Amino acid sequence: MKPRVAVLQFPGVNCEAESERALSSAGLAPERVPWTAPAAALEKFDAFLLPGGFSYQDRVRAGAIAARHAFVDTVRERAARGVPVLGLCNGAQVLVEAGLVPATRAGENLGAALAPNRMPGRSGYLARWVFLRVEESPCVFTQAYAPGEIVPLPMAHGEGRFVVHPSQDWSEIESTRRVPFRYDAGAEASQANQGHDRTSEPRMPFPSNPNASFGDAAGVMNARGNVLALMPHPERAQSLAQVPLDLAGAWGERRRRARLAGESLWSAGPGAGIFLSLAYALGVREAAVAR
Amino acid sequence: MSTDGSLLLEEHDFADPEALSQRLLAAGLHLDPYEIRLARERFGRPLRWAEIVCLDILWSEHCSYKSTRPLLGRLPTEAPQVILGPGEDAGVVTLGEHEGKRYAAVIGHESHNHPSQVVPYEGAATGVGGIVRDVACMGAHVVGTLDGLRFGTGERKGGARTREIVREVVAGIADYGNALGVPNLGGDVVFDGGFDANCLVNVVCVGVVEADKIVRSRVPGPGDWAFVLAGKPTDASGFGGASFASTVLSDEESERRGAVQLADPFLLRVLTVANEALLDRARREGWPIACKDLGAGGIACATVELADSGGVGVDIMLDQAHRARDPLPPWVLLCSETQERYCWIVPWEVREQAVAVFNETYQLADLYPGAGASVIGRSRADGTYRVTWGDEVLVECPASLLTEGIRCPRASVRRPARTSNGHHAASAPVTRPMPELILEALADPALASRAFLFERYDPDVQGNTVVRRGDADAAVLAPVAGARWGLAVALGGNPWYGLADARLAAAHAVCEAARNVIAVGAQPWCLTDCLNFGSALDPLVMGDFESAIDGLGEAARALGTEGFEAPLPFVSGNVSLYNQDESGNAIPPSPIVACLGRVEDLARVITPGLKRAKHVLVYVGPPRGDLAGSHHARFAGLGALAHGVPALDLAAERARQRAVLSWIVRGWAEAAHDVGEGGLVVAAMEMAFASADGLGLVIEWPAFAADAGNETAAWWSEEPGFLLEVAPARLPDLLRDGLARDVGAIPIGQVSAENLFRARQPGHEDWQLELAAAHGAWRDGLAQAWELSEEPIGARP
Repeated sequence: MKPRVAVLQFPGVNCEAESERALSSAGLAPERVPWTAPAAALEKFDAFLLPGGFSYQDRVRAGAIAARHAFVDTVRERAARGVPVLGLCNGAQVLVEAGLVPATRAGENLGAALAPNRMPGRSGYLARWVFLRVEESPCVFTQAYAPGEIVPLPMAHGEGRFVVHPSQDWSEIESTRRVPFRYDAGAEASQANQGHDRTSEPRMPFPSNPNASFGDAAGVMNARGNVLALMPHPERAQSLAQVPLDLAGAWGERRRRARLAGESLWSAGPGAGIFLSLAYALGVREAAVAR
Repeated sequence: MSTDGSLLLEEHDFADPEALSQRLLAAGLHLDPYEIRLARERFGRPLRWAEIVCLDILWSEHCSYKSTRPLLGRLPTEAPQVILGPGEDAGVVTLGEHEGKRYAAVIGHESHNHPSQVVPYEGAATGVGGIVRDVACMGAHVVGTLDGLRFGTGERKGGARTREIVREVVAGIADYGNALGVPNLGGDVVFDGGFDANCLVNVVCVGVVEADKIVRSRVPGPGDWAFVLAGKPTDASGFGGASFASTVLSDEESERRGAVQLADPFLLRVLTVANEALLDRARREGWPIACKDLGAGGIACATVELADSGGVGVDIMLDQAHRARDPLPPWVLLCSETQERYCWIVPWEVREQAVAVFNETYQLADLYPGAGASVIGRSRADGTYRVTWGDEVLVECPASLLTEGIRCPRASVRRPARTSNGHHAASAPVTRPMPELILEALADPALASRAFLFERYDPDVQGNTVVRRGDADAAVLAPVAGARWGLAVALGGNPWYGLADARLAAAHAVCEAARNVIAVGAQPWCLTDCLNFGSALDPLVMGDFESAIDGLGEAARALGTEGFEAPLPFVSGNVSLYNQDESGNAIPPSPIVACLGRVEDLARVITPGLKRAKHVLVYVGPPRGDLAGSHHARFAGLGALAHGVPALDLAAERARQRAVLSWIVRGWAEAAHDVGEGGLVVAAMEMAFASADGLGLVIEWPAFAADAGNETAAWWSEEPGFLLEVAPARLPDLLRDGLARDVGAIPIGQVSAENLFRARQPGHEDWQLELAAAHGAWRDGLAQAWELSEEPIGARP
């Protein structure tokens, strides 16, 4: 029996379909759970995915109202027992608002937030492809990548800037290695980015770091690594067909070669690894799509 | 004048149509004396107040196309791939088959010009919402939208006000599409003084549906049907919107903010989820079903059209409609254009189950106070359209009386085309070095990159995107995961040509839209149009309109559908008149055309970015030397030339388009780009900017020049053509096939590893330009349209 993943459909999310496709391609069994379902409906699931969109119209703050939905209490409880939870874009905002990420040893929240993007000469929503660097970490969702690997993904958000409250220190998130994905300069991991220093100041200039996130963080996880809040969209890069034809780097090159060599455009794209890592963690061995 | 909807106006009211017309105008209704006489005659009795309000909307230009319907009939609409042509909410064409299912593409085109001028944010947002619902109500899954924008420069109304409209319109489109989860597939933006008092916001929407699951916008036939209203509670917003869009925007009229509708993408997203659940249920249970979105004319327009086109009448119990708490006159409730609403037709006996999807399964009222579904009507066999409020009768007449519409043939005077597209224009005095001219042109908002605008739109949501807006001349989607085929879509339309020759401008718009989809490797499959013109009462405007119709038809028939003896069909469209300033000066004639293309094999799709050094740059098109209508002619102030239109040989254009598509699909081209605004020099630069590896170009300009002595005209002319990057090994095949097709394909240069643009003549270097500097100017040029400044947009430094 394939492991079952609940795709939590809060009202206003809009990435359910492509998230479910990505889970199926990785050999998992996604099931969409509408917001009107009872929280008990979540018991039968082996993992949870909170998709992107504008849950509850971003009322109060992005993710603030969904974070108080009964579903999230169940998710928090299951996550504490190691059940994998993946929050993408708006889903990431819900996990941060709910304190599931970055959390701390005793589970109380470290006061992290996803603030409005900070960009030179403009403000608000930004949609473009970015390059993420995979950091060494116990994250459940990065096992299919090699540390230091460059993963191009599209980002599309207005409030994606990871910050901590001034009274707290971003260094605790770095020292406990809770940043599995970092915005990086370019196609190849140009300069060594190991041992990211402890300051919160972003090292990557705009647009490499598109929103001035502390530590160039694109994704932040809890201490155990089973709950990940990732702002860019891996489900929009799950197959080669979705990779921009003129993208710099190895994935762009592979997409260009596919045009002539006839490699299937439906083979795995750069984002598939996140879903395959989840499948691997849930015991799936014959993933539907070779990586 | 009573505002009691049921009051029957007295016979004497109709004795003096002129006086009644004035009294109606004071109440914001725009029926002229001729229309009042016609209404009295058709109804055979004095009309009730609510009936007059219905006619004010149903007989408006926006809904009835009264000045243009006979002319629109001249456009070619039939071809084998057309499943549903003009007439329904959107056009439908075949698309492809996958795993035993046949899929069709649905496309619609709308304009929301007047509302966007008055309240830019809401006007633009509701423009997107309206066209999305038009496509969705056909049972289609909406897969993308495009926006064609024309803004002023601020010469007359001030730079700050114009920039505010730019910022607000773009923000309205972005916030709506992004929240709804519909990717933006592109569009275009033009700044010209002619739009200072009247911006244009055209929107196109594309959907996909299984061919045997198309939902029609008419009652399925005789029987006992329930009319279920679903969505936002009806309120007074947007009352009279349609007739507002059909009149001149005078200054105090622009205070009529009430006529602009209010958008709510969050509610429409939830409503879309609920609609899909109802549609699934209906298909599983075998309920015959129909659907129509509520747009112009609100409940009245939607319900009378649903009934009449299904050959039945309907009893509308208006007091059953779920609505906003504050009390509304019933005739406002009947015709208000509250957004985010649909009317569903389901068999009478399952009406409660249909309503339950919205009120219980998805509990809309918890998310938006008062939202949900209510049964507002029941079909009747006798074709009568009857609306009651409690026991008062608001409307009672044959449904066909309201849907019949009205014809107003207009005086039309054709202007002589004043083009000066002589092949060898007078050689323009070359005053400044090319690199300097190029940097200034690339930084001009007319030619700069559009990224500063479209990076505010989500291009990837739904995960179907193969080529994004901005990465090529057209966006490409794989709407059915796993299928080999896909679709492409792009806009075409140049307002400066319209001023010179409306017929040639329209023909160019069709060819430009078709070239844009061909440049990514898609076969042009169907067209939609939005015809934005001035007042229907101005014979010169109607003359231009008629000329544009001729141009659209000529081009669509000339290009044709490859593989069939058929034109390239128009499958849907829109007309927007009364676009002018307060003193009656019409906007430049602006026919805007969208072309949907079919991609046979997604693996063959290409983009403009240069791919590899030492590849050959090939130019396909006429020798270049005619600066008529070019950006350079306007930029360098070349007088008459600036107001001309480049020649268009439709037979050569057809041969060229088919040749280039064939070469791309056979894998003979690595990159392709349409040569349009800014001429060959800007097109070539854009191919270099898009390169993943910072490649450059070396080009010998005499190779494509009509006159070896006129470098400026060669680089900057905007005659139609293509640039292709071709591997040396493929060049002989391509050139030989070009000769066989009598299509001029000329090698004009080479891709180089240096990030440099070098121009040469045989035997010596001419000039060169660092691509990094040029790329910077091009990338940041559009930002000035957002700055807080009184300077006109695009003003010369």
